[in-house]
Amino acid sequence: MKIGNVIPAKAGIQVLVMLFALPLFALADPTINARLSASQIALNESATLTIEISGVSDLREAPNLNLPDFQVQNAGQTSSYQFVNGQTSSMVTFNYVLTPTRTGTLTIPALTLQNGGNSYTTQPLTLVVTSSPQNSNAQAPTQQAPAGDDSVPSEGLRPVFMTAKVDKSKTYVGQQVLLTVQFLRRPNIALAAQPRYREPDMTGFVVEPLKQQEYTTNFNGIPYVVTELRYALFPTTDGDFAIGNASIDVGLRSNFDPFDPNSIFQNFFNQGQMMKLNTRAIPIQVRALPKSKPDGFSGAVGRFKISAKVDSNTPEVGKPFNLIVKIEGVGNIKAIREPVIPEMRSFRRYETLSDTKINTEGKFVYGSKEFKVLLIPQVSGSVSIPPLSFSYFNPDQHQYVSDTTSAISLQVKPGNLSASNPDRPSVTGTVDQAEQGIHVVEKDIRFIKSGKIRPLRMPLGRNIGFWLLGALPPLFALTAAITVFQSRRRQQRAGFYRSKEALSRAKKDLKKAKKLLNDADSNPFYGSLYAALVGYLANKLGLSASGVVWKDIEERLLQKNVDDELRTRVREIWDETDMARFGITTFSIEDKQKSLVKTEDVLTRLNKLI
Amino acid sequence: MKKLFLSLSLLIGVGIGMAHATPQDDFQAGNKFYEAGEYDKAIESYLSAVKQGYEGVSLDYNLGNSYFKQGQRGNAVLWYQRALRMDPRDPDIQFNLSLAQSHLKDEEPSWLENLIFFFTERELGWVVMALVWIFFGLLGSLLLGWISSEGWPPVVLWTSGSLLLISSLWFGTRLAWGAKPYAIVVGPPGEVRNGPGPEYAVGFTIPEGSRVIVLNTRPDWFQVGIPQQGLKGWMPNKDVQPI
Repeated sequence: MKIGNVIPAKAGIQVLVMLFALPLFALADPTINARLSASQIALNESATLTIEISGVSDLREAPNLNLPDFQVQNAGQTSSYQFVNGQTSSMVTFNYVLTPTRTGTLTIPALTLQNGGNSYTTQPLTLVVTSSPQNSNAQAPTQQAPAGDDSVPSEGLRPVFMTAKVDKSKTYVGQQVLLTVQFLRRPNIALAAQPRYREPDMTGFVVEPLKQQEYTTNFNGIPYVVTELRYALFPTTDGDFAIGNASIDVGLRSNFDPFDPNSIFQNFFNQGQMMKLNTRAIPIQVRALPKSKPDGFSGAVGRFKISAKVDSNTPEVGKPFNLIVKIEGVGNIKAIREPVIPEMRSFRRYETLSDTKINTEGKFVYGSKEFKVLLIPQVSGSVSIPPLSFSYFNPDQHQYVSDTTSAISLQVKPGNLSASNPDRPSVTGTVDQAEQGIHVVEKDIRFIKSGKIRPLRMPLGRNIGFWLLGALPPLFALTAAITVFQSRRRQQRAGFYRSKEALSRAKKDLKKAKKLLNDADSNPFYGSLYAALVGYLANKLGLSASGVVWKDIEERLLQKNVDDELRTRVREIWDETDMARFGITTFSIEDKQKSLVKTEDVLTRLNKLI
Repeated sequence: MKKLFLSLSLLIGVGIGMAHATPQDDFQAGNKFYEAGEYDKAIESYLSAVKQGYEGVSLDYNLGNSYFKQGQRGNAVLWYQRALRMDPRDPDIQFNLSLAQSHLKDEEPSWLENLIFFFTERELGWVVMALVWIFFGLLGSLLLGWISSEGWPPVVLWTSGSLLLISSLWFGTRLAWGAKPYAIVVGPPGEVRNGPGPEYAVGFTIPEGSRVIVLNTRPDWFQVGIPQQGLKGWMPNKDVQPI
C-alpha cells in the first residue's frame, strides 16, 4: 500500500542514477555464459535466452545474435555489481525471447564476445521444438523457493531494509506479473557509499522495466524513504518458476545495530558500515493458455483492440499507399506479431514496417504497435480491403477474444500500372480496360488445352513424296511443251523428217515381210517388200508413194548419182514384187528368201548414197 | 485432402495402366495432374508422350504451361515456341508466351519474321502444291490444246501463276528460316563463356528464356550467337535447347 507523498520524477531519476552509478576498481576475469529457460517448447511458444557476461569493464554492445530459426525479441538488459574484499565484480545480463519458426531440434550456436582483444565463447545450446504444446512441467525450471513475504512487519522497524513482491503468484503464459522491489531507509540514515544493487534472477520471463518511483511512507509511525523499482514480467512458458532474490550492498554512515532500532542514536560519529540486504525468492506458477486457440492467434495476452486505416484519400492504380493496422492495449506490446492480412488480388503487397510505442509510467505496460503494409492498387474502380481480425487471450475473462476491423472501401483511380511494375506484362490489364469496367484481378497464363495429339510427322520440307507430287504438274507441262514444239517442227520440215525416217520405215515393212515368208500366199510377202522399197524411195526422193512410177524414180536416182548396177537391181526388185503382187508368177520360199535379202541389200546400199 | 486423394488416384491409375499407357493416356494423365496442381507430375506425363514420338499443339502448349507454373521460364518459352510453330496464330499460345517472356527485353520478333511465320510450313506447302497443280495443269492442257486458250483459262493461268510465285517465295523463305538452328536458354544462370569449357571466363550473361542461334557444337557445349547484339560465346548444351 502506498502511503505518503511521491517524490517528483526528476528527483527519482537522480536517485536512480546514484543508485546504479558504480566506480570500478578491479575486475575479475571475464566470463560469458548462456542458458535457456526451457529445453523443449511447442512451436507457438517462446523460450528466454539469457546471456550473462561478467568481468567486462567496457562492454559497448550486446552480442550479435544470428538465429535464422527463431524470431528474436530483445527482452532487456540488466547489470549488477559486487564489491567484496576490495574486489569489484560486475555482471551484465542480456535477455532475449526466442520464438521458433519451425519444429525440430534447433541449435543456438556458440556466441562469441570480443573484448579488449580477447574473445569469449559460450557453449552451444539446443532447443527441441514440437508441433503441439508439451506438458512443460518437466522441462520448466525447478527452482522452488519459500513463499515470498510481501509485507514488512518485522523489517519495518529496521533503519534500512528491502522487500520484493508480485501482484499475483498465479498467472498465464504471456500475462503480465508486476514485480516491485523496494529499498527503504529512514530519512536520518545517511549512506556512506553508493548502494550496489543486484537484480533478481528473472529467467523464464520477458522483462520490461517500469518507471522507478521515489516517495516516503510510514511504518508504525516511523517514516521511511522508499526507492521502488518495478518490473513487468511476461512468462514465456508454463510451469513453476521463481523470481530470484534481489540484493543491495549499502554503506551506512552512522554506527548502529541495524537490528536494534535504538542503536542508531548510540554513536553516530563512527565510520560507515557496509551491509548487504536481500529479498526473498518469489515463486510464480505459470499456467498454459487454453488449447482451443482461435485461428490467427499469435500469442498475445492482455486486452487489445485492432483498428485499420489507409494513408491515402486518393488511391491510384500503380501508386503505393500504406494500410496502417494498429493494435493497442495492455500487455506485451513488443511481442505482438503482425495480424494475418488476407490475400488481396486487387493489390500488390510489399513489405510491412512496424512501429512500437509503449508506456511504462504505471504498473502495466500499455501502448500500441502499428504495422504499415505497403500496397499498390492493380485495378481501378471500387475495391475493398477486407476486415482484419486480431485474436488474443484475455486473462481476466480466462478466454480468447477476437477483435475485428471494418472493411475499408476504396475508390481507386486509373493510373499507370506498368510504370510501377516494370516486370509486369503489358499484354492485358491496361488502364483502358479498367476504365471500361474490366477489372483484371490477376495476370496468369491461360489454361491448358485438351486437343488431340498425333504421331510425329516429318516436316513437309523433308518429305520426298511431297516434292515428287509437286514435280508431276511441271513435268506434264514440260512434256506438253516439248510435244507441241516437236509437232510444229515436224510440220515445218516434213521432207527432212520423211527422208530421215525412210530407212526405219522400210525396215518395219521388211520385218513384216519376214513374218510372211513362209505363207503359202506370196502376195502379202511381196506386198511388204514392195511397200518397203517404194516407200523408202518415195520418202527419200520426195515423191508420193501412191502414184509413183519407175520413170520418176529412175530420174531421181540418176540425179543422186546412183550407178547403173544398183539402179538395175532396184528395177529387178520393183518388177519382181510387181509381178508377185499381181499373181503373174508363183514363188517358192527360196525365191522369197532371195528377194528379201536382195531388197535388204539394195536398201542398205541406197541409204548410203541418197 | 481432396487434392491428396486426387493425386493418389492419379498415381494409382497411372501405375496400373503404366504397362499399357499410350501417349494419349499420358497426355490425359498430364492434364489431370495439371488440374490438380501437380505440375512436376504433369511434366513427366507430357514428356512421356513426347518421348513416344507424339506431337500436338496441345501437348507442347500444356508442357509450356506446366513449366511456367513450376517457375521454369526457359523451358516454358521453349515449349510455347514449339507449339507456335505448329499453330502460329493461336492467341492462347501467343498470350502465354508473352507472359513467359515478360522478363526479357528485345525479344519481340521483327514484322518480317511475324509475316513469314504467319502460316505454318504445312499450310504454305499445301497452298503451293495446289497452285502448282492448277498452274502447270492448266499450262500443259493449253499447250496440248485440250482446253481453249480464250475465256477463263488464261485468267486463271495468270492469277495462279502470280500466286504461285508469291507463295513459293514465302514457302522457301519459311523453310530457310525454319531451318535456322534457333534455341532457347533453359537453364539459369545463362553464363556465356569465351570458350567451350568451364575454365573459360564468362563473357556475358543471358537471361533464361532468351532465343539464341546455335553456331557450332562441341561435346557438351554449344556455341551460341545473339545476332541482334552481335555477341557469341559458349554455353553448356544442357542449358540450351533447340526449338
